[in-house]
Amino acid sequence: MIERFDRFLAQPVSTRSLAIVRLLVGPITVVHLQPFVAGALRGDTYQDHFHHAYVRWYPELPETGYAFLMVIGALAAVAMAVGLWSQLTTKVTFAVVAYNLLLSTTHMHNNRAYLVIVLGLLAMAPCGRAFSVDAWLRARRRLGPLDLTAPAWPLWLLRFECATVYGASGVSKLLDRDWLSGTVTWGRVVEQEAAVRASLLPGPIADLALERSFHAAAAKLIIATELFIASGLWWRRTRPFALLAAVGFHVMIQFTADVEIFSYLGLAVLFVWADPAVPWLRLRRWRSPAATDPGPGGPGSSIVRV
Amino acid sequence: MASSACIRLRRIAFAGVILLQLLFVVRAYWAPHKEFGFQMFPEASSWQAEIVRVTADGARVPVDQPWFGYEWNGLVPERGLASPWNRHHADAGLDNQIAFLGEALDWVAANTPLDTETRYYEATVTTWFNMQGPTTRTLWSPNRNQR
Repeated sequence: MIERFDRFLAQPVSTRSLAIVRLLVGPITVVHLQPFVAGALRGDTYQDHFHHAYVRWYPELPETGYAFLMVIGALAAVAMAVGLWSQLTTKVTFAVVAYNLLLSTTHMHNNRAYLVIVLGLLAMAPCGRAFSVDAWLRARRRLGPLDLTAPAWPLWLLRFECATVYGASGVSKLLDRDWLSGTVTWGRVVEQEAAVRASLLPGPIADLALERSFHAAAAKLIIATELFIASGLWWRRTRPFALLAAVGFHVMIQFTADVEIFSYLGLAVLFVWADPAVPWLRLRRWRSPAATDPGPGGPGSSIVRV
Repeated sequence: MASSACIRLRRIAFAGVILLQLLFVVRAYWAPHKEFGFQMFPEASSWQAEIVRVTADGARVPVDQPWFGYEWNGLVPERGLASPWNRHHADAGLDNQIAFLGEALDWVAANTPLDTETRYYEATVTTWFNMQGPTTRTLWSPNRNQR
């Protein structure tokens, strides 16, 4: 049993999907850090207003040091995106973003927590072997291509986290009587009735959006969508539909709520499910059995359909 | 081939991340700040607070007026805590919002050294949980004279 588990974790898979996530998460991290960098550079940091440390012993920097750290984080994110010194820059980006998130309870938001998780897993994975300056420089120096496969475990962890975000959200709504009955979504829309009426929505649609009975059905649809995404991603047959649902879901959220980077991050991380769903990401054959780690007793052969 | 220590470490890291994430998801059902719990848009609740400075002579001065060079909105601009005298949506739920407000009172009490007058801060908070009727509760900062 344990041996099978180890083989599963060590199974070589393509790192291209992780490289795509790295490429997309880099600019998303820059967008996330931008207000912190801008504030710190004009001398306005979290220390100047209400903040609340998780633990008293958490190390804090003077304002200049904090500003410097935020700039380093943003530069590392840019380098991570283009795949320059990927092994180092993913770790630095993760360290800076995680440090900043855990500085104060006021910094914690779901989208930022998700970003830290994704960066942490990218830092553990060899995500700079494809679509990167590192790979390009290596080719230019005629050093031979990097092995594009790696043990599967970071990819599976990212997939688990991706599904968990939708699953945890869906289950929490399912267990909440007010959510299930539509009270929560109806309440949110009614609170903003003036804005809904003033929006581009045609009158009858606005009326429908403000109708309580509509929300009784819509809330169930939202919960079902989240739970379908969380579960549908795991099976190859349902995966394309779950991916489509997730894309639609994020587009809808982006246009109806202020969620910082959540929509972009959610869409970017969906690429961890792309291999083998997207043919051009697929590795046809594992070319270099000696260069990867198939695990104890693992196959040194073909792979990659995970 | 990976060493046995490496294999064991990989096994622990994999199981550890999954276990930790599940613990955070479960913990979010009672923790006010719900870190890594991913409970999105949890409530349609709203809140409003009358916050006063209670001075040494017993006066109760609303914080919507600046005092000793301080302004509430300058001190507490984040987490929906600005202009608490207006009714606001509780973005991450009432428990979360009330926890933040309590922490903010403590922080303001501890970080306004020019204020030589205020003994403590008091917030009378009115909440509307998911469109239901109002409930009122009171929060206090620690007494500044005892610091």
